[in-house]
Parts: sequence; structure tokens; C-alpha cells
Amino acid sequence: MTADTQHNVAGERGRRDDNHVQNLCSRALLETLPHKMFYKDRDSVYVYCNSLFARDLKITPDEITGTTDFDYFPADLAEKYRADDQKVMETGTSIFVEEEYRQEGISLWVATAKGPVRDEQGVTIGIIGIFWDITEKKRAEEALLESEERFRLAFEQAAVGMAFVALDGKWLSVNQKLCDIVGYSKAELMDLTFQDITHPADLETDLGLVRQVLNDEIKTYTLEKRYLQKDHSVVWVNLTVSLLRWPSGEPKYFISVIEDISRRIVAEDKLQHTFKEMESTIAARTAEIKKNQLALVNVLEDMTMNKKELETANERLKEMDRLKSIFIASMSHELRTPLNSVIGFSKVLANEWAGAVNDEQKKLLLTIFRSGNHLLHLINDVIDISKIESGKLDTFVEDFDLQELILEAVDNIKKDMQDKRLAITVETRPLPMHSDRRRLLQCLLNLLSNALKFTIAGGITITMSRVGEQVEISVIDTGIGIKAEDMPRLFGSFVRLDSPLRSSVPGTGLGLYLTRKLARETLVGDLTADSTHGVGSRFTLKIPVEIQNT
Amino acid sequence: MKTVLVIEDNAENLLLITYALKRGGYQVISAGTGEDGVVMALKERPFLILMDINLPGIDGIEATRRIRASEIDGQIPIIAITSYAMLGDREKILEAGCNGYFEKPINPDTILEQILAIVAQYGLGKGGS
Repeated sequence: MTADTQHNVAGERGRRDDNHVQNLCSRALLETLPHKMFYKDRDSVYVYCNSLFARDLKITPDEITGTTDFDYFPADLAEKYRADDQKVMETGTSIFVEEEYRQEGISLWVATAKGPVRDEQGVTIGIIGIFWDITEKKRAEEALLESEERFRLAFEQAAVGMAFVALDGKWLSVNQKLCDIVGYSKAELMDLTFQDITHPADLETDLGLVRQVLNDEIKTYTLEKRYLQKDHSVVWVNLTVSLLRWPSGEPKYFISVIEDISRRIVAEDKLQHTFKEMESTIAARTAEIKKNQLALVNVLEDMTMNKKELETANERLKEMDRLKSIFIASMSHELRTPLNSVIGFSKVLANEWAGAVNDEQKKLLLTIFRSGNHLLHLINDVIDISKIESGKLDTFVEDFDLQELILEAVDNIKKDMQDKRLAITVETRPLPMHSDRRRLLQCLLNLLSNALKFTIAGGITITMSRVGEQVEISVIDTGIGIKAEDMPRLFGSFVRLDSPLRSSVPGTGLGLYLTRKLARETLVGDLTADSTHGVGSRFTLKIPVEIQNT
Repeated sequence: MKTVLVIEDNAENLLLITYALKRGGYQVISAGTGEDGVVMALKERPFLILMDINLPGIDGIEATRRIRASEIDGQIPIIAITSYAMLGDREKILEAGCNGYFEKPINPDTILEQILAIVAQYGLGKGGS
């Protein structure tokens, strides 16, 4: 036999039933395994172990023989190991445990497998044990648990509805919020698909989008749709769907997020409604405004027209006023001019300046003279009245003394008074005044002339007295007086009271009318009269001492 | 004999005044317009001028001003004759240089008195004989 042949035979022979080879294999196995291994006898005494274990104990495998756990571990731990060993041997079954240890403050996890070793007769002769570190595994397990817990909480407590939906639409997992939104319980949903509770009008759109996601045309979609709750009421939601795929790309399941937007939809509806209302209100108001504008335009047009009319009327009035002034002015002049001749020449002739005249002629001439004067007075009065009525009476306010004025007036009638043998009494004192001297003189002359005309016997008295800011001037006569029933007409225009003297005494009937007008308007005062028929009369001018210049 | 110049456009008024003045012993010369009146006043140097305010052409006030402006030595008394007078005019009349005024209608009896009173106030003019 050659060396090779010997070898082969030896190899073949040593394959299965060679105890020595078996032992070598076992030993090799024990050293190769990444686990720690030991063999103890029936009394829990170490027989041998592998290097991994020995290194842990800081010994060599040979040194472990004959030692126990009590040599390496704390008593309570060693006792536990022994108990485990005994249990295994008694029950004859192997055990597998995962236990936690603390080593130098660090928590470690170890998995241990112990099993009985039996001889050919089936008698347990010892224990074999294998253990290895599973700390990493444990930590990973814990981390996973924690992660799952976190996810579960998030899922459950989300403020939006969340669901996992199967590819056929079945609800796989839903959170409470989703249940609240769609109005079904978790249990009920597990038997339903999303199609079951979707509003018919929105179903097609939803399914279309699902198809697009499955075909990978789109990755996710968002859709506002309606679900029908269990009680058939409609709820509007905002739905977002995405698809979870297997690593291979195959669709796995859908993840859906649902937001209840019913409040928003209601608000939107309300807003739309409000907008529509507003629009119609605005339209109505605009129409109204347009109407008012038109009305306003019409009014303005009317006003413009009226304004034009007023302006025209105003122009006419101004023109009439102007003509009136011219009329008064020219009449004034024109009427008086011929009278100059009538009065003047009749006197010249009566005075015999143009030759001798007989008594009869003189009488006639004097009549012409008197008539001329009468006419002149009448014209003057009429002109004055027409001026007053037109507001065109010229006034001139100046400073003067009242006493002087009264004396001047009295002076004027002195001769006539003497001719009639009437007495004049003047009770005055100096009084500075600021008024229209000329018109006041005119009034006094008028009153005195009246007194003279209507007094036959007796006399005339003129008095003055200051009353506050005013002065009262009275002309008192012992004339024929005025009847009570005539008093109301006294100051009327063209009124001549019936009296025995009416025909013999010339009068225009304008005197008192004009005098009172002057007193009231020019002198800013008043003229009053009282009288006793047959006894006498009293005429009182009451005027301000000072007229305020405007 | 003293000469009085009457500047008056109305013939009747002039006649009336002339009667009265002649009565007073004055000689009367006259002019019918303001312009003529001014010329005559300076040429004739009368003792007194009676000036109607209402004249055609320049009025009595303007005529008075012109006379006053041209007088070199002494002033001839000028008395204005006004209508039922506007009192505002009184100031204008006096301001223009008149020494006084009387109102129409003219009273033949009193005109002479009025004239003499005013003349007395102002003395005699240097002109005239």
C-alpha cells in the first residue's frame, strides 16, 4: 500500500465512527461558535468550557475543571445557576432564558440555553450550557417598541383623522378622530370601505385620483369631498392620500389624512350668500343713487332756470328803481320850475315893481301868489312822500342844538302868529343832538303850521324834555281840537278832517302823514297826538337824541 | 352903481332876480352858461355874483372853482342858487368857494334881504364901481 492509499483509508475510516475525530470536531465546534459554552457534571461542577467563556472568567479552559460558579460569581447568582442546573437535570428538558445583568453599572442582556447530557442508558450525567450577549438585540427591541408606541400615540391622538386603507378601499386602521369625523365606530369601519361611506357625487372623482396614484401618475392627492355619516348627514372633509409601497415598488396600502372642513364650508357658503346679498344691496343702492342724482340734476336745472328768472326780474326791478329815481328827480325839478315864475312874478306885480296896480288887481295877484305857494307845498310833500316810499329820501345826520332849531321854527311863524294875535310860549333849554336837523325842522314847521291853522284864540306852546336816550318835543295848542272818532284817521294820507275851518284853511292832507313818516323813518322815533275836541290838541315828537350812523 | 353878475340859464328865473336886484339899485349883467359866466366874471369884476348851480355844460360848482382859481387879488362874493337843496350839496357849494346860498323858489320879497345879509358877512368885492 502507498502513502496516499493509507491516507484515504484513514480518511474514510475516520469519518463517522471515529470517536477521536468526533471529539476533535466537537472541540472545534465549541471554539468556532461565537457563543460561550460549558459542561458541568451532575453536581454543577465545571468539567470543561470553550476559550470564549474561559477568557470571560479570565482563566484558561483547562483551569475551569473542578471549579464551580461559586468560584466566579456572587453567591446569590451562583446559587441561581445551580438551581437552574438542577431543574434541567431533574426535568430532563432544556431551558432557554433571556436575562438581564448589571456589570459595572451597565445593563446587559444574556441569552442562555441549558440542556441535559445523557449517557447510552439515558442517565443524565451532566449539563451543557451555551450563552451569548443579546444586549444589542434587546436594545433594538426596546427601541422598536418605543417607536411603535410613539407612532401609535401620534396616530391616536392626532387632531386630524388618520387611516390606513387597503388597496381595495377597506379601512385597515383608523384613529378616533376619523371615527368622530365620519360618524362610525372603529369596529363598524373595519367592515366597511371608504367607498361605502363616500357621498355618491364625489365617489367618481375620488376613485379617479386613487387610480392615478396606483398607476404612479401622481404621488399623492388632496381632495375636498363629502362622507355620509351613519345618520346620513353630510360632512365635508379635506382628504389627503398617499400610497405606501413595498421595497419592490408594489403598492402596499394607502395612508389617508382627513380634516373636517364643515365649519369652513358653512362659513364659505355664508360668505357667498352674504356676497350675493351685498351685491344686490349695492345694485339697489346704486340704482337709488342714480335716481337721486337724476333728481338732483333736475333740481339744479330748475334752480338755474329760477336763478335766471330771478336775475332777469332783479334786473327789471333795478331798472324800474333807476327810472323811479330819475322820475322823482326830474319831476322834482320840472314841477317846481314853472312855480318859480308863478310865485315870483305874481309877487313882483303885487309889489308894483313892474308898474302900478289897483287894489282889485293886487288882490287877484296875491291870490295867484298864495295858490302858487300852496301848489309848491303840495308838490314838495308829494315828492317827499314818494321819496320816503321808495327809500330814496335824502337824509343828513349832523350835530345841532335843539333849542336853536325850535327857535328857528318858531321864528318862521312868528309874524303869522302875531297877525292872528296868538301867544307863543317856548319852554326849551340847550340840548345837543345828533340827528337830521333839516327833517326835524320840517316836522316842527309842519306841526306849528297846523297848530296855527286850527287855533283861533289862545296860543301855542312848545315844550321839550329829555327822557333817557330820547327827547320829547310837544306842540300844544288851544285850537279846535280833534273829535275822538277822527283820531284813527288823523295820520292817514290825503285825509282832511271835517271842521268849520276846512274850506278856509288850505291843507293838502299830507302834512301829518308825511310828518309821522319822517318822525318814524328818518328821525327813528314817533309822532303821537292827543286832543280834546273844542279845547285843544297836543302833538308829541319822541325821537332819539343821537341817531346811530349805520 | 354896483354890478351884479347873474349866471343863470333859465330866462324866467333871471327876469325875476333882475326885478329884485333892480329894486335894490343894482345893475345886472348875465351869462347863460358856466363858461361864459367865468369869462364875464374875470372880465367885468362885478361886485357880486349870483351862481345858479344847475347849468348846462359845466355846473355852478365847477364855474365857481374856476373863478376862484383865476382870481389874483381878492375874491368876489359868490352866492349859489340851488333847488330844494340836497344837504350834501351844501358842503360842495361852500367847498367850491361860494360864500353862501339860497334856495329856489325865489321869494322876491326876501331875496334882497338874503343877498344883503350874505354880502354884509363877507364885505364888498374889489371889483365893480
